[in-house]
Amino acid sequence: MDTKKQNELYESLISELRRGTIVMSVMSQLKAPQYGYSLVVLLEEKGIPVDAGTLYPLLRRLESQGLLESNWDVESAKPRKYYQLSDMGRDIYDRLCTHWYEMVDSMNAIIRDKDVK
Amino acid sequence: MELNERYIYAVTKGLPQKQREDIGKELRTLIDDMLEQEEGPETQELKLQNVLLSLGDPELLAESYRDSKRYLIGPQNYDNYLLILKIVFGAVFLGISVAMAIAGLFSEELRIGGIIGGYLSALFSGLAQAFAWVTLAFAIAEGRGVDMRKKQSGKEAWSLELLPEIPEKKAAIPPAEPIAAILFSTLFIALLYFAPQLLAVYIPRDPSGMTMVPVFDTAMLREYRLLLAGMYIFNTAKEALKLVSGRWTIRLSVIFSLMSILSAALALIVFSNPSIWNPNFAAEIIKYANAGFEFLNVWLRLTTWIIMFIILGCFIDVSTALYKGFKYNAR
Repeated sequence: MDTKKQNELYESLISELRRGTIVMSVMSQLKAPQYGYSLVVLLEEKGIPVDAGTLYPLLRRLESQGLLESNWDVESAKPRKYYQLSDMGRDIYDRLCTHWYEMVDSMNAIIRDKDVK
Repeated sequence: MELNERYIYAVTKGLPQKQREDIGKELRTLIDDMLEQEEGPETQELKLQNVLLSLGDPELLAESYRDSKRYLIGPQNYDNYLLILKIVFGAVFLGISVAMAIAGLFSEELRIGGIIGGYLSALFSGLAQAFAWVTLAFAIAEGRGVDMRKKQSGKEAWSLELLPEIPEKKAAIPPAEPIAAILFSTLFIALLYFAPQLLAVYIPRDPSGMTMVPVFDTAMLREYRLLLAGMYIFNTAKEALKLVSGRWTIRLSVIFSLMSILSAALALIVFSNPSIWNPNFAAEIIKYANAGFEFLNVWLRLTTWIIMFIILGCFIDVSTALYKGFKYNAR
């Protein structure tokens, strides 16, 4: 396989890995209310860049699933929709985190295991 | 600033009305925010272009906003859809062909062109209706989240107990049974629907020719076409379910029974109305066939028998279905 194809394959695997973590990244930043674009900036600063085009529909989906709550702020010059975790969202986020730590431990173990051999 | 409105329109135009305004407002602010973030010497116009380009294809963005299904019949039901469509098409084709062939034999019309024309138009309207009704039924099932492949296990998660029992020989439904039933009901209802005047008593008359005494008041029967179509749909649907299932299950037997009852109810509405019968039938038979006056009583009794026959047929249908469904699936 030529290098170009190899790189493409690698990229697609990486984006698959990322896709699985986007929801958790977003939820982690929504303990306090954020509007869409502030969240884009925030995530980018923290090294997890997410496209606005991906994030905005995702926020709506999480809201319709009941994980997030939203409020329109119409006081300021531009109308902004603020999202934050709902009670259920907070609960599920905590459980996801617990699961995440276990998964990371197991993954680390399994990867290192292979290195030893 | 016209460009950003066009972009927002391109995203929201295909979205549900309720969400359009909300999403539009959100996107407008987003584009504004992103514009402010753009630094550099470019003109405002160029910056806007960059922002929109970075948001990407509006169709794709709209696609990710849309979480509802955008298909009429999903892959999990598509195979069954095709199967049922083929059977119903075959049945309609056969039914109308036979009905029209008989009609052609007895018609006064002698021009072959007229007969073929009538046949083709009946065929076209029959097939078009069959297609529309089957598709509608599947689309409704799809919309309600029915997955026919999971019908035996319902909504429960898969588990070992849910592996289907290898059907007892008697619980198996030979495909010929539902196919024959579909063919028969297609033929019968196609006659009632397209050519009720053919359901008649044919009395030879000398020196040549026949007198036709129609059984039905065709104009009256025409009023009931919608109910006839309904009867046909329930009938075909229940047989189609049998065919797809391939064996008697409790679920199948219950649904089958319900449809059977609905279909019989429609039939009762049609056939219990005395005015669907040709009002002069008995008189004409007596006149042309030299039958005695007692025929009037026979005829009156016959029409009552038909109602009994419908009820009895439905009863037999329902009781055998429930019997087989429950007996062969008792745990």
